[in-house]
Amino acid sequence: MEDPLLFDRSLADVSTMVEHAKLVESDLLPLSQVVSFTTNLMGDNIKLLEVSKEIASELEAGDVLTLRGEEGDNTVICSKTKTFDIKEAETSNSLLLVSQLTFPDQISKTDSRKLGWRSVGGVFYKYLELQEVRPKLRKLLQLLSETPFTEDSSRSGQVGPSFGELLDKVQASEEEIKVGLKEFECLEVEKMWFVLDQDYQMKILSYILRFFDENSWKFDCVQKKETVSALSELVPENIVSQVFSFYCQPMTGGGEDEFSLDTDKVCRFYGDFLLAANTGYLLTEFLEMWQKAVPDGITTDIAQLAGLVLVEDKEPPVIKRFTESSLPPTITERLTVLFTARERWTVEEISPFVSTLTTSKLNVKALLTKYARPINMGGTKYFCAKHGK
Amino acid sequence: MQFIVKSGASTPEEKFIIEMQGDLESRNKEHLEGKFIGDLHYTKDGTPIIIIGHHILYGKVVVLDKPLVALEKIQVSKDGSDSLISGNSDGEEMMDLDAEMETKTEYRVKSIIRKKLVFKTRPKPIIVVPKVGESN
Repeated sequence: MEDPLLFDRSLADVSTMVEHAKLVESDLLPLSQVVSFTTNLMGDNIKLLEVSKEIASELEAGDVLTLRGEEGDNTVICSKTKTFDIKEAETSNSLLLVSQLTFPDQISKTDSRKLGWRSVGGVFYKYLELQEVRPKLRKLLQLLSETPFTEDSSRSGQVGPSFGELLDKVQASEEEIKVGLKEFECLEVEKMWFVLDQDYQMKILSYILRFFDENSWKFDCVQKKETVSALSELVPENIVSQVFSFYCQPMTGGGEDEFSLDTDKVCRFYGDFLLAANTGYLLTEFLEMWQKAVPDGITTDIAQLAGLVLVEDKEPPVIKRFTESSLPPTITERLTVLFTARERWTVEEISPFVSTLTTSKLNVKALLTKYARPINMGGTKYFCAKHGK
Repeated sequence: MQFIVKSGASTPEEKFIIEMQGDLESRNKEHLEGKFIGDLHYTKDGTPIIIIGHHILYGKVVVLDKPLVALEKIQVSKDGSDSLISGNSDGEEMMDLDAEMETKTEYRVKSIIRKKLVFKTRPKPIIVVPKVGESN
């Protein structure tokens, strides 16, 4: 419905203006649009948000964006799959919002001159910009670490956050949280989420591996149903089934119940378990102990511990637990810690410790080039701290 | 804490923007309401021209690389029945704590803007020389 106009304007008035402006009417398309302010201008409760074409289409289709954050957080906006920071951008221009506007390609050149009436509903000098960021999954790990699931938990009725509660507190999209839960090997028990206590996980894993051994199964072909059923006497079925899934993937070309054990993952867990018990070991001693600890038939390799350990440049070398998740969340602070721990790193060595800070616009190499200094030693390319010795 | 941004019951309208350099006359909204701004024309080759007051500005049609959405902050009842309780018109910060209320804050997508007219060239003044015999 048209706004009642507070002024009169006729075709003749418009033509007069064209003349005064020294324009030639016949050079113009035959629609002139009279632009005015509506009588009911928008208030500050309307904001403009700049989005990608993708998100615009998703919103049109009914998808939602969710603002997430608790007090003290910078608000983020999440689509179903991505997380964005919001920044307010000011423009030195005025943005007039009109609900109707005719563009040149919509005007037939042969019509006779007409007037169109266009109302400006609001004027904006600012808008919000979205910048894609990495999901803030550290909070997820923190929350879950408050209530780890131990051997006692089933009996004591241990309580943990629901998925809904996680969505409320973690600044990440739904998809990203699901991926995070999988990466952190989280357990779902009665619609609550937990990280598994390491001792309990070792116990359950040992039961599983021993069962494989008792049945003389080869690691690339083990059976889920029998394992879960037999061990459900010792560990609740739901739990042993999930732990089984942490370490076993469906066997390629196998039957429905046939799975392959991820031996690298097993080694990684054992390595982490040993290192958590002590502040550091001599590298040679650790490697020997580690190999002995894992089941027969599995071979350990230090590459399995990427992002979990630091081998110090001492003589003789020492290995200690050094987790990516314990490092500062910002690039500059993190690199300071890394270069203090070790003067120089190859890209391969440092990658697992910085990859969570990369974005689609800044990959590992770009990150290192920007924030660190490359050096060449004996034909190998390293990175070291940008400033200082 | 979460606030939802969504389309609501109806599909968002398509709207447009006319972008001009600098401030319009006054930022006082009451002063502007209902007022005439200017005449918008297009040359035959599609160049937009706007005559505002004693100025003429040339511009161009721009398809936005990144569309804009206009969001309206509203309070809805917590039972999700989607009935509007009240519009919020005093420009509060986005993160409201209204946990005690029976309502929650939502941001409705009112419109989507994909095209604009941008007038960036400096306005040319129009000098009107009254002709002999004209009363104005």
